[in-house]
Amino acid sequence: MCLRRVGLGCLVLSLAAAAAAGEGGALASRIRRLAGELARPERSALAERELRSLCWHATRPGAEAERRLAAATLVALLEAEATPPAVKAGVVERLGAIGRAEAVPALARRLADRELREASRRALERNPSAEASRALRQGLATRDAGFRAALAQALGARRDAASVPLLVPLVDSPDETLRLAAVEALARIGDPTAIPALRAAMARRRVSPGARRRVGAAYVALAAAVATRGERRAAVQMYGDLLKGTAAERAAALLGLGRAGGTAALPALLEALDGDDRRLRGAAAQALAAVPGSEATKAVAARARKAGPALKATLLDVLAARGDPAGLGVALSAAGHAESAVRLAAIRAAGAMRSAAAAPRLIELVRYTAGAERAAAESALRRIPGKQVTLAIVEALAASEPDARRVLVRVLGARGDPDCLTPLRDAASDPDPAVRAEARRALSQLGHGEPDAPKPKPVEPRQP
Amino acid sequence: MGTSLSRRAFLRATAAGVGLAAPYLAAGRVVASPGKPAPSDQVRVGHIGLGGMGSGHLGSYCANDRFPSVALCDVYEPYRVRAARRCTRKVALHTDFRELLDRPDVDAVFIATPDHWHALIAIYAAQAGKDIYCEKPLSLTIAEGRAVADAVRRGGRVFQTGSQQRSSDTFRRACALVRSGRLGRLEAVQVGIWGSSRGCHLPSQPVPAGLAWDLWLGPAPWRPFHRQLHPASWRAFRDYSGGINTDWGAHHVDIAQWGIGASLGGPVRIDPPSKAHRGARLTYANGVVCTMGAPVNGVRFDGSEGKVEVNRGYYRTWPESAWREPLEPDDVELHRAPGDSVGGHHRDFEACVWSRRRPVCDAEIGHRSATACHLANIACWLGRSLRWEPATEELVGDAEAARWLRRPLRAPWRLP
Repeated sequence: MCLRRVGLGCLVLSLAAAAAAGEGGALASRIRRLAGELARPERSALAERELRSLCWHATRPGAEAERRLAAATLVALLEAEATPPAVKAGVVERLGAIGRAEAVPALARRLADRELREASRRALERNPSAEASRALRQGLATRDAGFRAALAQALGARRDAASVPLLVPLVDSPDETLRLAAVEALARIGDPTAIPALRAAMARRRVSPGARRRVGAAYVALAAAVATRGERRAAVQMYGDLLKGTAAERAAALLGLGRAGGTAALPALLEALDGDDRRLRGAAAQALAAVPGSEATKAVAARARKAGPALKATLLDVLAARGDPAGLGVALSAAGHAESAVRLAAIRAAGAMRSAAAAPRLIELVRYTAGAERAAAESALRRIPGKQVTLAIVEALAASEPDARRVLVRVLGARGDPDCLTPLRDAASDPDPAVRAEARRALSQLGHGEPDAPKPKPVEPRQP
Repeated sequence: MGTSLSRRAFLRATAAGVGLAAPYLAAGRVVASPGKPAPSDQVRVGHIGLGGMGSGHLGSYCANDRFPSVALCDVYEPYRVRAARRCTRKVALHTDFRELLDRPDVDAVFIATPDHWHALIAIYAAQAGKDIYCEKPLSLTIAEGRAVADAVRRGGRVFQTGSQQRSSDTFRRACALVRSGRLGRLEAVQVGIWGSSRGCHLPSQPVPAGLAWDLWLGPAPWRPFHRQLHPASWRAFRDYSGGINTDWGAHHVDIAQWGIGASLGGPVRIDPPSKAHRGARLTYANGVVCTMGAPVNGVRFDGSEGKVEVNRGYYRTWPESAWREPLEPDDVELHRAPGDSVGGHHRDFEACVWSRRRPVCDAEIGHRSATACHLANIACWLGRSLRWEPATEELVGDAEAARWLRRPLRAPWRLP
């Protein structure tokens, strides 16, 4: 019975294909022939591959007429009663890849077909036309809570703002799947009018831990979307709600406040640095790096001054990330801290602030330390711009020991300042051979070295 | 429903005549013993996906005192049982990852499922406040990768993508040489892998005992079971993977982007394979062209004054002396992991879980590397060149190709 039906379907398709004519007809005919073969197990894999390639090719820019014809052919196949179900399933999938408005009515009708509705929903979700959104919204009228959830999910994925009034009532649905789908769709759409509904969902009692977590995450996502729209006051209020939530929500709230809360968020962020949960402390530190303005820098610096070694190092990293010279004082004083990790963080921060005022201390560190600290100070000195810094380095050269001279010469080479040329030429005749070599390398890098010997031509790599 | 295999349960089971494997004899240490870290100094680990890579991760943590494995999850019962036997302490067993994520005693998760699950589980884990080590490639689509990176950033999670070549000294040094100009101006990059995935037309076979097939499929379109999909060869098929291009591309294209300096960017033009090149060609904003499917061993960076070719346990430079050149402070700023390869990648993740810094291959980097591989696949599938805007993550001038940036998930699964 089934085979006879498939055979009849193939015959209908073949006859239809034979009737087609012209170039467009050839394309339509080919699509129909391949679609027909989808129902033949021994041919279906090859036919699907060919059909897929044909459709993808028809979507290329500048070939709109071809795409429309291919889509219309597929729609006709989907609507034809004689088309076997296996072919229809393949057709729906292809329409998901190439269909636009012309495919929507046929796909929308399949939303009521238990066999094809999920594939049709996915095809509509991928369809870029406004008509597809409308069809999905209309589909929400179905009574099947599971499928309504799937439709809500599709509308969320499309960020369809027009569906917000339809999704909001679903947040109160007794069906948890539908409720969560609506909540997450609203969060993805990111419209501030959804805030009260999601706030109510947050307050809902007697929900599973998993569901509660997803509502919280949706609230975080909505707050971020609202902040991105520039509605910072609403976002800050939402983050305030989240500060009363789970540890994960509190961490997200701190980060959100750092981005959206401005200086008003500083007390909450600084307070979180003293908590027991290292993840919350980490989130607070990360958030402090994002709060704009020198007032925030000063607040972080003040807190760093009083902090124990571990927190001090973390806050120095925050100051480095901020790069604001308003924090230079605490960085320079911490460069002499008893703990090596703090000293290194302080030197990194001083370099990141790119202030000439840090140069004398950094030069001292190059001259009188070794290892990681000297390397960090060298790195910092390379990053700080300005003639004044170059001159301070040049001035320090003569009084430095050979190993420090070598590093300072290297810094001069890296700075590439024209004022470096004379001291570098002087250093090229330094009594210390390592300093001389470094100076010659630096001059060469600056294009003022002795003419280089011709470089050997790279050898062609051997094939593996 | 989760089950717990404790020493007490073991004794009860054996007393009832139900034989369990010998390794359980060593189980039962729940509370820290003298000389071991207190629970507050521990990060308790859950493992989701216990096949090849998952089994490897478990090997690093099942006897780890600071990062002890406490919960295991896989959709295939024989894997769960095999994994539990390796653990010397009490572990909870789950079929559904959501149960594991609900556990308050899990602080961090290792995700080593098939690729089509990576993003969704990672996002759920980030929402649950867990730190995450997720196998590469980060995603099945570009939209999924973006959603992971956003969820991780919003939640302040520590995230390591399992592209462990970033923690290899050899790869790091090769990229450092390139980035510091030691090989002159970078002109081209060759990557020695290519292979896309395809549609799946396998016939139906009976589902093996102990396999939750619907959960294995998860967000992928429904299809009947076939043994080629589970346990091993799913990477050949588009519904579950991007093929070699994303599997190995998440390593070698990732290294290419590290060397190019595009770890947080991406190509601006993608050309499909042609007669001139077997794989896709990725062109970056600085003019560097990265050719996939090239006849090289791993990744080769071609500079105006030299070349470096690098792979696992292998490197070569032209001229030979280039490799030995000392690098100066500030020559490069490449993250150095505390160890080499997989072990170093784990150590880097662990250190960042404590320090709350970003690991060497965090979610944004993993997403950008996977994106380059996905774009190569899309260009290949559609048979045409694409233009990409890395800043906005949009395809330019090809609305139809843009449909490939996301794929609808099978209900009830959805990207939050």
